[in-house]
Order: sequence, then C-alpha cells, then structure tokens
Amino acid sequence: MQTAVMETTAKRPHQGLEIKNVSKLFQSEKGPVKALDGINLHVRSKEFLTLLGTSGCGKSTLLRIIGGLETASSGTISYKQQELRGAGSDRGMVFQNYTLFPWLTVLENIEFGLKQKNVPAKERREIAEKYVDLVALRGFESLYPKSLSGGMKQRVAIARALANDPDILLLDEPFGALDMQTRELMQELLLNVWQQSPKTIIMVTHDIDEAILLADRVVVMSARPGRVREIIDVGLERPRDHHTRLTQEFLQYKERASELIREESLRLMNAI
Amino acid sequence: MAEKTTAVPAAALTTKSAKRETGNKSMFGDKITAAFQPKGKIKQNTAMILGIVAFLLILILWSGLSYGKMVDPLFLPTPTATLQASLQLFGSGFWTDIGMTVFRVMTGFVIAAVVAIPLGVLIGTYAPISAFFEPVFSFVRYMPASAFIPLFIFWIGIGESEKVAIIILGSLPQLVLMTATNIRNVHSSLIEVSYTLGTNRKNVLWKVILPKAMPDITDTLRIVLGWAWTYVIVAEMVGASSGIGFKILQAQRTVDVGKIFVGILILGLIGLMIDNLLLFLNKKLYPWNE
Repeated sequence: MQTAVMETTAKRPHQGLEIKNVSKLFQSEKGPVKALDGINLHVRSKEFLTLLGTSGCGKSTLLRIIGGLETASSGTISYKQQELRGAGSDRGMVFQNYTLFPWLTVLENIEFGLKQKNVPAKERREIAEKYVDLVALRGFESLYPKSLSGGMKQRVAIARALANDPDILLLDEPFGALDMQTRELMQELLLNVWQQSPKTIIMVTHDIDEAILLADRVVVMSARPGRVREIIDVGLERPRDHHTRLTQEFLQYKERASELIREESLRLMNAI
Repeated sequence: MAEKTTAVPAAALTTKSAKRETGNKSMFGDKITAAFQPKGKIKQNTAMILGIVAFLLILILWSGLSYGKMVDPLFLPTPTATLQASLQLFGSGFWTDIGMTVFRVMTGFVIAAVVAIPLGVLIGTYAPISAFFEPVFSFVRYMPASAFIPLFIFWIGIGESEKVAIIILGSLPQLVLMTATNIRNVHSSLIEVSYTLGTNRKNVLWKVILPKAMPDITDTLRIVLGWAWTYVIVAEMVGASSGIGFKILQAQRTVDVGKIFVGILILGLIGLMIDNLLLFLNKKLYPWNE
C-alpha cells in the first residue's frame, strides 16, 4: 500500500526534513507556558504530512518554527542535513487568513517571489501563467484580490507559493476559513496540484477528514504541551478524490484519528 | 405573500404592512422605520435629497431671521447683503488674499509632509526609532499651534516664515503620528508571507509595508490638510496684512458682518473642494483598495 515515493525516500533519510527535540516556551502573564515539548519528526522528501490536533496544541507554532517565522526555545530543524535558520524562499507558506498583496493583480501576486529572485520578466510571466492554469484561475489573472472569493484567494496564495519552486510547502489551515463545499473542492485541487508537481508538504489542520484524505502520514498531536501523540500511516491508494471519503478503509483511519482527538479534547476540557 | 417573505430578516415589516392594508401613508411609515435600523441603508438619491434639505433649512432659517428683521441686520446680514458683500470683496482684490492663504497653507503643509512622512514611516516600522521620537511628538501634538504665535513672532517676526512655521508646527506632529499608525496597521502576516517568498528585511519596507500603507497615508494627508486650514486662519489674524483670515479680521474692525460671512463661506468651499479632490485622487491612484 505504501507509495513509491515513500519507499525510495526511506532509504535516504538524510534527504528529508529533520525536526529534533523542538520545544517552545511562551511567556504569558501567569508565567512560562510550554507550547511544544520535545517534538521529534522526520519528514520524507516529497511526502504529504498533516499535523492534526485540537486548537492550542501548538501545531501552528511548530509549522511557524519550520517556516522560520518563530524560533524554537530548544532543539533544531534541519533540511538535507543543513540546519535551518530564519525564513527563506525554500519554504513557501500559505496562511489561513488571506495574505495576498492587495495592490497586485492575481498574476503579479504569483510573480512576486520570482521578482524577488530577479527572474527576468518574460520568464516570470511564463511561470506564473503555468500556475494560473494549475489552480484553475484562467480569466482572473488581471483582477485585484478584493474582487476574488475566499476560495479563489487561497488558490492564488497556493500558486504564489508554488511558483517560487520551494522545496517544502507549509500550509497553515489554508482552507479553515472556507465553507465546507469549497473546502472539499480545494482539497481535491491541492491533491491534484501535488500530484502534478510533487513537493514536501506539511499541512496543519484540525479537520480530521482533510488530514486523512490528503496525507501520507497524519501526525496526531496532544494538547498542552504539544507532543507527538501518534503517527498514522495512511495507506489509502492514490490518486484519491471525493470517493475516497466513502471507503471502508478511509472510515477506519477516521475512527482511529477521531478517537485520539476526542481523548485529547476531553483531557483539555477536564484540565480547565 | 407569505411565500415571498420566508427567511428574509426584514420580512416581518413587509408582512405587517400587507396585513394592515392601510395604504400609502403607513407604507411610507414602514419605510422610515426600516431606514432607521442601525447600519441600515438608504438610496443614493434619498441621501442626496436629505443633504440638500439640511442646507435649505439653514438658508430658510437665516432668511427668516434676517429678512424678518428678528435680529439686528448689523449682526446678521441678509443673504442679499452677503451676496453684495462678496461682490465688493472680489471687486477689491479678494482673489489675491485667497491666493496668499492657499500659498501659506501649501508651503507649510508640503514642508511638514516631506519631513513627517519618512519619519512616520520609520517610527511605524522600527521600535527603537519609535521609542526615541514618539514621546516628544505625542507631547507636542497637544500644544495648540495657535499658542505658539506670540513666541514665533518674537523668534521669527511677522513675515511669511512665521505663518508657515505655525502651519508646520500644527501639522507635522499629527502627520508623523498618524503615518506611524498607518504603517503599524499593515498586518504582520503580510510581512511574514513576503519573507517566505524571499523578501529580506531591508526590502520589506519598500516592497510590502509602504505599498500597503499608501492609501491610508494619502488619507492622513487629506485629514491633516483640513486641520492646517484652521491654523492658517489663526496665524493670519495676528500680524498679517493679507489673506482670508486678515480680511475677516478687517471686516470685524469695520463691523462688516457680511464680509465675515463671505470669508468663512469661502474657507468652507475651498476646504470641501480640496477634500473631494483628494478623495477622488485616492480612488484613482489606488484602484485596488477596498
């Protein structure tokens, strides 16, 4: 059931992203709060990994640390055996809230990263056009973000991150603000995009279905402090689509993940 | 009727009026009730008519009081007398005074803006610069510019520089602090996402923060320019020999209330024109802005 990608990368562990003993302390008014506690993870090259957990489990914090937008209190993150420090265009990111540049058109938004790298205008345009097609936004290239719907904005954000050709794509609940119908379509679009241009993707979500449908592996996190509770190997056949949600196998994975999340939620409730 | 009104929140009103069937008058009443909902909307035409009615009411009140001789005409001239006063004023070089006032405001304001905007941008972007400058400007902001007139006459004299200095003093701290706020309002996630797209710390100000803040900064300019108009008039009432403020003061000395009226009305009209021009420019320059 394992995909070919995973078999090959398993033989070359140094190819992936290595998260070693990462902890994060926040200073609050009541004193230090441990958001993440000794996270160890190996993310394989071209793997689709989802971080699943209740709100406040530190999954977004972990993603932000990987993205270089926050620093770990202790521990290291390295990619291809190089320690990562600070943000960089090798790790593209898509946030939940709409972070398109409002003064740029759809096409200019997608070109933004390439412009920072001084890619010549003509080449830039060609690459951006390609990603416009990939996220099905043909005909909307010259619009400003203000006239786009929520789903379209997130498609631009994904295209903008991909156009930069990052090694790793970090997604922080990118579909969290969308309605359910749009969200499901976006999940399929993302699967399709990933199939066409494979990348290492780490995606944070609290949506159990989403986590299972997309991922090679689901990392279920425990809450306060955030720890790796369990890693679920999702053996569902690819390519996956909306039919996958209805299979017996899918439901089995869902049951397992739901159980874990429920336990964590209950633990959190009793702690309060 | 019942079918039509399902699931529409405002439907309750429509059903009520239909049931009562009391004709046009109560329909109008219902419209009024609906229009007075908090955050409710009215038609653009209705809004314009209401605006014009307010002006007309003032004109009627003014006419009634003055033509009806309810107030001494020395203190409240009739609209006709005011019109005559304006013809007199414009016949005796009022354009030059308007020009002088506009020139003073613009000179002072442009100098203030050239200094204040870069400073405000730096204060809004970098914490150490903010910590150094902000307390001073926050303090100066609360010192009324007009209170500095006697001091500035001592220091600078009663020439043009003194008038311009008052305008600079009045508008600069406001511009600095408001620009800094405009810059701070740029959401940090926009900056973060630009880092993940390869923007570095040096470029982020030019590539992300400034473009995003430009419409707000333009709006700040518009608001503070409005305030600068009030400073120039005060400055022109002390030790000036030209300008709209000077003409108003002169009219007071000769008890010519009609000319005072004209001076004030002209100030309002110019202010309104500039304000609308800048609003229009803002829309043209930043079509992407929501």
